[in-house]
Amino acid sequence: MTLSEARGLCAALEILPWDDVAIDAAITAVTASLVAASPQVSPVAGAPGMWWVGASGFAQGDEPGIAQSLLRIARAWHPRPRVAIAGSCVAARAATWSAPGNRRGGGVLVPAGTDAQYLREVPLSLLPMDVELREALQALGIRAVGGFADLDAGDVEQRWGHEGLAAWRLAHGDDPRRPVLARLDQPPHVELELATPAASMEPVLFLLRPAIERLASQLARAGRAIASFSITLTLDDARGALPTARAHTVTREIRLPRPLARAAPLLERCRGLLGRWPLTAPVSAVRVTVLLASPLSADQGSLLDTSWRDPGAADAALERVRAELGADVVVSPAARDAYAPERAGTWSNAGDAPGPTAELPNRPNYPNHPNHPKDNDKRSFSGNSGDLVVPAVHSGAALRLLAAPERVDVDRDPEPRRVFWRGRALTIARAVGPERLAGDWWQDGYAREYWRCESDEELGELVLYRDAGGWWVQGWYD
Amino acid sequence: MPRAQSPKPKAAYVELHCHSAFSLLDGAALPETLMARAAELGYPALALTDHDDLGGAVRFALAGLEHGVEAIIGAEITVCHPERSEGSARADSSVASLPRNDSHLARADSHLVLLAETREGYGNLATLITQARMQQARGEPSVTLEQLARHARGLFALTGCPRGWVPSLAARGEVDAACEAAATLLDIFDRRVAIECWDHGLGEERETARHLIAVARALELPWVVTNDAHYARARDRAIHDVLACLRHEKPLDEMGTRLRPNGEWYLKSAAQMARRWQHAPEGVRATLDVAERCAFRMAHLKPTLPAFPLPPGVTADEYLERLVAQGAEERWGPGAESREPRTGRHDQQIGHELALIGKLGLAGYFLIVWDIVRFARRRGILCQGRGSAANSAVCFCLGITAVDPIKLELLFERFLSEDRTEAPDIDIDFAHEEREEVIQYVYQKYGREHAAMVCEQITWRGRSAVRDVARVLGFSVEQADRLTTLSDRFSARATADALRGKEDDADVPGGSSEPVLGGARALQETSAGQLGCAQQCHGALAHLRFSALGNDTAENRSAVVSPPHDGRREPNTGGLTAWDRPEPKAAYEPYGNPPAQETKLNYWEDPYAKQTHNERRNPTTAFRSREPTADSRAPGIIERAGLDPKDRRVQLLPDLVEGLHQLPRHRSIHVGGFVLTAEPLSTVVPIEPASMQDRTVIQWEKDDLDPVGLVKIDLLGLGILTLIQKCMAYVRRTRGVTVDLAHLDMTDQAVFDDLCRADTIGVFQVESRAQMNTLPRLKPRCFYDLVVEVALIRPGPIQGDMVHPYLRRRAGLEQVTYPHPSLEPILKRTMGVPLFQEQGMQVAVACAGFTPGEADVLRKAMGHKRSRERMSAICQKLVDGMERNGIPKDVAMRIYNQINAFADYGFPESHAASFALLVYASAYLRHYYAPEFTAAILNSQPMGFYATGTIIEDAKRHGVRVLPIDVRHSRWDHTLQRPRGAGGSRLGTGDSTAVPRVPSPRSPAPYLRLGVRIISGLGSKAGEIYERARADGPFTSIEDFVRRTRFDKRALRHLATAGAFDAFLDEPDLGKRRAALWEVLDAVRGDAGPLAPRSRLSARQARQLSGPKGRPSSAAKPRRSMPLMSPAELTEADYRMTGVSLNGHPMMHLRRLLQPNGVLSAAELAHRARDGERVAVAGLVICRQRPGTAKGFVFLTLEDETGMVNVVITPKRFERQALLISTTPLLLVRGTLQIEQTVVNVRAEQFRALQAEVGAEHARSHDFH
Repeated sequence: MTLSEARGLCAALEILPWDDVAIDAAITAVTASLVAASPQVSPVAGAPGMWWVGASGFAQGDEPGIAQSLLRIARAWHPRPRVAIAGSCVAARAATWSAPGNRRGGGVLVPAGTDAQYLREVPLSLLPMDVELREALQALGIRAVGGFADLDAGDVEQRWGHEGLAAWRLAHGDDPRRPVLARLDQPPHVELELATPAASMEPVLFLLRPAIERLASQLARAGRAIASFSITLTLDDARGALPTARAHTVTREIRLPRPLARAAPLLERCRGLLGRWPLTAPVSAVRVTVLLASPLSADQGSLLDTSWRDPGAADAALERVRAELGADVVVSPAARDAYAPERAGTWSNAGDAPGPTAELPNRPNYPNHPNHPKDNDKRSFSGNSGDLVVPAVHSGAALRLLAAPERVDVDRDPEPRRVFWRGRALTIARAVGPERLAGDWWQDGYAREYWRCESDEELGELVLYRDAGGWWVQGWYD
Repeated sequence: MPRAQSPKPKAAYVELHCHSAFSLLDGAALPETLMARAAELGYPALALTDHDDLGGAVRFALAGLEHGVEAIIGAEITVCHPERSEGSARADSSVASLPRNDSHLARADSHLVLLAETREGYGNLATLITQARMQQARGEPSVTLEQLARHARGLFALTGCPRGWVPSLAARGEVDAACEAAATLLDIFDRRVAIECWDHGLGEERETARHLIAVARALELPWVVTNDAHYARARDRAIHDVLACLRHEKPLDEMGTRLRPNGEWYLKSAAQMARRWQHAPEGVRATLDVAERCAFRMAHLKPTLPAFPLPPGVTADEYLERLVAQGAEERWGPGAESREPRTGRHDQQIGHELALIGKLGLAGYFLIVWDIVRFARRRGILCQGRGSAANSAVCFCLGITAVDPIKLELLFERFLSEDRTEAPDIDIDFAHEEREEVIQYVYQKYGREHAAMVCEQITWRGRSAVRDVARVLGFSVEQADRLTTLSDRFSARATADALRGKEDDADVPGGSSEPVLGGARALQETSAGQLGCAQQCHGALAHLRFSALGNDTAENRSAVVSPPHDGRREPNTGGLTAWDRPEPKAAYEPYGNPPAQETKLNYWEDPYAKQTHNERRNPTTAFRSREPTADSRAPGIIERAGLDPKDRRVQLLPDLVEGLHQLPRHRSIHVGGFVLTAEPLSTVVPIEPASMQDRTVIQWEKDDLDPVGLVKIDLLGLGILTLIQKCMAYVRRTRGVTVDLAHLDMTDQAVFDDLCRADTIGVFQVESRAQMNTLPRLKPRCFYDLVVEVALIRPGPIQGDMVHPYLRRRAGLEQVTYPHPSLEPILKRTMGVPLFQEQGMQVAVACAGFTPGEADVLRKAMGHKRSRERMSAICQKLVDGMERNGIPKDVAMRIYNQINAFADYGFPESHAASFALLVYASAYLRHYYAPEFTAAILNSQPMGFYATGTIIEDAKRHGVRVLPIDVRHSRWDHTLQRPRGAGGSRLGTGDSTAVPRVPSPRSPAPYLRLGVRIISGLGSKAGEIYERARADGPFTSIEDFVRRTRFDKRALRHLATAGAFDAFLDEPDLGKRRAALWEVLDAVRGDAGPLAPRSRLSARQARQLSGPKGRPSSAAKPRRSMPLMSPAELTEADYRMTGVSLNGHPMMHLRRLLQPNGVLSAAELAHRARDGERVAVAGLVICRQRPGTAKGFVFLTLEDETGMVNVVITPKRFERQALLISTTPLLLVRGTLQIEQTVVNVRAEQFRALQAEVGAEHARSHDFH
């Protein structure tokens, strides 16, 4: 469907640009959620929205249950997810497109050992292959996978090389890809892949949370706690669409001073470990294995025990404050690039991720000229020859703004001489101005004449302005 | 220079620093607007100081003359100099010891205002700007102090804005350094310097000014006050902010202090300035002194043409006379085979023209043009003069034009007369593929210092204005797109009106709602109210030269600008303002509605009395009907775009869009205008590099040239000339016939038969749907009929409802009448219907008492791109003149309406005649040499109206045998091949040395062999590779082809799929392509893997097994059989790869399904169906049109295996199924057949998309151009 067609169907359609970062984050989140159904979850490289999930190792005949479980999880992300279970990834993927299975909404099961036969009638478009190979086969009149499978392997290799041969093997159901092979006698573990190799530990930590939660709850159900576990990172030294070589892995072990069944302190241990773990290559997968488990004890934690200290305590405390007083009460100050004093600063939520730091001009930089340095020019706002320089009347002074400007009466000649404010008459020793500021006409515009007035009082330098409504005190420098 | 009387006493202040919109994205007012405002404020003078630009200077000066305000020409130059920290800012008084701009030093750019005191100063200013533009990176102009010193004479300098060198130092409090910098300038300009101060209500500026005044006093320099104006009125600040946002590519919300802190940068009154500077009034008074010094005016420019190199002892007049005499002998002499023998009339005309040329001193100009044409001829580049030059016998004799003006009785005075103040306009068309050669010749001959191309100032249009303003206001890209799509109009103003919901009142200022901002509209209205719309001034005055104005300013002004409309309708005149562009009646013809026109008793009736103009809309997206909706609550554009009309920003949108109306956006290159000067061109106008390599452009548009006396020569590219040039070369090679365009038999009725049948695909000018509809009605039988045909189907005559009256009179269905007896001699040859611009002029002279000069003004207005405004200015004078001559007002108004229709582009008769010659030539070649014509048009692609497939299908229908692509025979280009039995070899269209010349003119028609270039996706270098490989001998096998060309796999696959290798294979026809592909894939792969060798023969074994004559090796080894293609698949593959199929039209495969359902073919429709019958037709959509003149009607052309079907769709039906109609390649249409004088149309009622994989989706159609 083209964009214009889509717009034709939905006038309010919001079109977002492709965002790799957002999509990777979403894939990682789904990967984490799918751990609830199976300990082996691999997002399919180059195909956002598709995962290989290990279904082996479960009780025989339980495939429909796994399919239902996966569908249930996936529905949180998509209204009509598709699931298929087969002996090979290629057949499973093709089967997800099976119309009857989709209609029933229960997934599709390809009987064991029938993958090649199943694939014969499948349209060629469902067989992963190079675009050029696909176009060539279609140009040759081959429409179904069976037609391709019937070609001579030598002919295929002669024309399309190893990649053609690999696709030809897939056409026979010969697919080397597996999510992760699980053995029943293996220690409890969770293995997850990342959508794209991560150069930092942040997404790894994100995946560790569901992995550890799954393991901790799995063991807790069996009345055991984790005494020792390991984290294995698969490093992406050379990662292709089809795994062909043994992966490069690095493993670190964490021995706990005492067995733990709560995920939070376990995660803290992980966080500490990852923080000290130098990465030599991006991480493509993570595996958490419980090395040692012991019976669950009833020990309580101690706030005074440093091993129980929670680095997120401050956050928790702030959360408590927010819960009591409102979501927006915890704020931090930030500067803004604006002329009007009340608009030159803002409060942002303390919990929000800090945005890109605004580069603020030293002084108003109004002369807009085509040759004005561009924003990406380092000379911007750096006091270049085009900037106006304000006399250093109040350099180093802090501007204290009133919550709202207060109306005042002013004696002037023509500069302000006396200001009547809050019942007091302030004599002005020196007034600098007027400074005419007018702007923001596209929203709630303003037009004012500012004066900075030194009074004899201890208030410092008053900031006065006059607009259509009269004279106002907006604050003072001290 | 005399000044116009001003009603106000002159103010005691002159703004010496003022930016117009030509300070791109830093000025929010047009030069005319600034001048108008200056006049309102009573300024005696105003300076224009755009950033490194003089693009607005001519317009500014013209507006100054109009308003009686002296126009001081200047600019704010960017000066590049070392940072002060690098050393001294000044080294004594020697220019040579000025700081060097060594690259290793830190550099800073500063601004400096320069004003022209004298002609020399202006030349220096233009030179400095040229150097700033030409010697620096594009978009970053600057000059060095050394350059400044070399070109300082005649210039007066102001120290500039806060970004000036001196002010920036003063602002930092470095007064001593500022003094040094000022002293440097003082040395450079020999004390012609003043310190500039400003106060925009900012404390910083006041502090800086205090330092600056101290500097002035220390150096005993004058100091002046300016306001550094960037817009005319305070309320224009919003537009300036929008422009600033566009410059920084940020929305308003993110601009912060990048915007100016207030809106003080406007033209202020002397009283305001005096109040602000009451503590130092000498700075205000000093502006008058500086203004007095800057006495240069644009009228002082007197550029001259370069001297043409002449033989010793011969004057230009004599030389021209000789050339003309020689040309006349060739044209009309005894050996000229001309049907028009030379008579006394010819000599008299030539003598008359030469005398006038001599009197006006234009012989050199004609010689220059002759020389360019001579160069083209020498290089075999086909060329032909167009436009009014075709009225001249001298041009005809010099070979510049090809139409005999004496034979056609063309009016020489339309081209040149003593009354005309500007140089004649000679436009020459060249074969477009070789035009660059001619352009570079001109550069080379006259030097880049003396020659440059004219620029074209691109202004904001509706679409760009909405998109930019929406972006600036912070709307999302999608919202901006939606708004753009929904509100799309031609001009920003009309678009703004559409956004306001004033759909039917677009361009009617009086109907506008009060703007939310004070805005541009209000300004324009106010200005117009007093002065005639400010933005019209340039257009209205551009016909006047400064010299002419100098002699007779007031008279000329009154002749042109009266009446001073306020842009609103005036009931007494029937509301005929510039805004009332006529609109045709409800029409289903591209040129108007026949019934609507036929029902009139007299076509001179005002057809627009109750109509208003609607601008062109985007044809694919403008679905909404323009008829007023019954439902007053129907959502407007804003609502339909999903925006809240109450939102502040949404409310601002229309005014901001309108604020951009006509503001320059960027500079482009004119299509072909050249200017030449004897003196260095850069002393007349700044030159800058164009975006195209090896091109330079001046900063003025074509309309700026006449007022300063610059002569333009248009060197244009015309595709049809390339086509004709190629076709004639092919005919010479294939048939041994040399076709001479100058001596074609112009009465060949077989050619006219084709034209009468509208059998004109590929024929110049008459291949469009509208022309094809007219031809059978007009039934051209002589050359002049073609002249009429070319002129008739133009927006002017169409919108003037002149088409059907003319056709009816020609058919004898309507009596030839004239609205006034005085018009009969003028309109007789066009049966009482005005069709040509010359007739408009003659009508004005005969009926309104216009002088020839005034008539020429009218003529220029008719051809001017801003002609609607200009026509409006002349309207009242024309009507008044007619009334004075006793023509009743209603008749006068009708005559005016007809002439006004030309505002939408009418042709001059001579221009139509030049084009008609090409019409006939192309029709002639097509008729007699169809294979060569087809080869030429295919080898000249892209050009013309129809896609390759349509052209080939048409050629096949005309008996051209088209041979498929075969790499054994095909070249890259399409070639002509001798038929079997006639020598059998390919005749070629390329290198003549490879082609045997056929002496007999009776050689049989060659076959057309499709070239490899027709296959899509081969890449840009494939042609060269292919021909190089082919030069080693014919290809013998697929493997041979692969080895020699080394094309990539994709290209080879395309070749195989297109059937280029079919001849190498012994397979059933339907199996060849897949077998070829299988072989290609085999041949193209490199080293085989472990499995492959087992199933393959070695190359040597294959050769041993190959058959005799080098038959393909593939025959020697077993090949896996691939599925055969179906015939439909074959067609689909053809269309996918080439856009055409020789194996059958896509519709052929569907016919057996369509026929039982009553769907008629094109042939059946033409021969069996009856008028009024309900029919169903289907075909490939090859053309979709929605002309601006057809009031929303849409025209489709369907093609099937038997021909073409024309379909007409009403606006309502189109809107209902716009997407289907606009995008479906195969369409089934049910509707009513309409037959009128052999013109067959289906008036569509129902549409259905045909889904079939027969390649239709790959066919290219000509959509909405």
